[in-house]
Amino acid sequence: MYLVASFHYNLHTEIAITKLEQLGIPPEQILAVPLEKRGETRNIFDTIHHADGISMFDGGAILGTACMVLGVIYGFVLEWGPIVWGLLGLAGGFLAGFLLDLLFSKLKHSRERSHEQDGELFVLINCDKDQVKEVEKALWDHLALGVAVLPATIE
Amino acid sequence: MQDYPTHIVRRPKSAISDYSLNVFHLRNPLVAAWWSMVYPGFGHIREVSIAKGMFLFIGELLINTLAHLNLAIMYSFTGKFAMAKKVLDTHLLLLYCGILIFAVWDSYRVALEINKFSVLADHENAPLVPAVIGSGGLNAYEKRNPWISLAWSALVPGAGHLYNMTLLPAVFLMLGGAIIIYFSHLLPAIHYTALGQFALAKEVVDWQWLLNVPSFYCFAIYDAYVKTVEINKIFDQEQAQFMKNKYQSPLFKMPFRY
Repeated sequence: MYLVASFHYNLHTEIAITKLEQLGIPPEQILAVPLEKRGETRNIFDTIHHADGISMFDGGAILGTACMVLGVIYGFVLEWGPIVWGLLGLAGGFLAGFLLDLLFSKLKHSRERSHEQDGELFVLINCDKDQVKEVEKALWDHLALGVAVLPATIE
Repeated sequence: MQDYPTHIVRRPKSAISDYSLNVFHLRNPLVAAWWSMVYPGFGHIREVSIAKGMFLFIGELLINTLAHLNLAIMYSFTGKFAMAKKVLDTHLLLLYCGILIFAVWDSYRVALEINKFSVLADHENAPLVPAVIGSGGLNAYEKRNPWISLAWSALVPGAGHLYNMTLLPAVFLMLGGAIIIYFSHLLPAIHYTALGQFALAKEVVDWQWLLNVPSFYCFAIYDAYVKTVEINKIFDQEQAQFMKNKYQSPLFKMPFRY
């Protein structure tokens, strides 16, 4: 019998597979397929100037810092003082930077990776028929995202 | 069994010890240059060159404080140009320009180099060591939540770095933060502001030191967040390596044959 399960990269995933080995399934009967993630290409020319998935935060941090400095400076002459204006500057700047980033990245690549909840690692297990129940339980107990038992197998 | 590196890794992706860890990842060189402009040294700390960045930071802090540069900036921005001229001390002022421009230029250059190293390291895909335990403590690539990292840094600058187990920047940010917070009289000003006594808040702060706060605070938050994300990626990469090594046996019987 064969079982298929999907996982995130996580310590639980390793514990799940260790558990399978404890159940008596040798490594030769376990096939792990870690998926390459889209957007993490290994192409030197495409990615060298790219902030690599974290750019959504860059704009906010940049404008947030700039506006916070301005807020503190003008707090010197404004009614509420530097603390309030600094914090308002930070919030306003961060929001503006974040929205600008969002806008530009939407314009640049319309297909954005937003499937963080999808499986990153697939595991195929070949086990005896009477082990299926306990294997399935071990997989679910260690945060498998999905488990399937292959109904028909051709030997 | 997995092979741990016995030969020299030419293009390492990361380094881990019981006190700290350091990761090559792709960085936008313009963002590095921006952080150096905000505060010379930050661009480098954000890159792998942590010691270089701390050195530049201390230099800039000393010159800025002795030359009263922040005060002059504040007076200039609020239109009090005569005050700005009066307050500046010219003994070290010009040195600041050199340090600033060097930091911006060098962090941009280093970012480009690091991007190349990072791409080469990904290509070499040398085995990563997932965890280390030593006399100083335990360190491991873990899956951490970047928003928790951000939240801790917002409460205590440097705490997000502690959460990431990057001790060197954490100690730097916590000590530096404590010094800046103390001399700027930030916390008494927060007390007054919270009570609505804005005039007293303005009176109590030291403006020269207070202007260090925004960039320092924002940087601590930003850097902790980015580091968490990148360390998570290293975790993924290491686990994928491990799985491929151990669980892709040629003896595995595929379910369907043709």
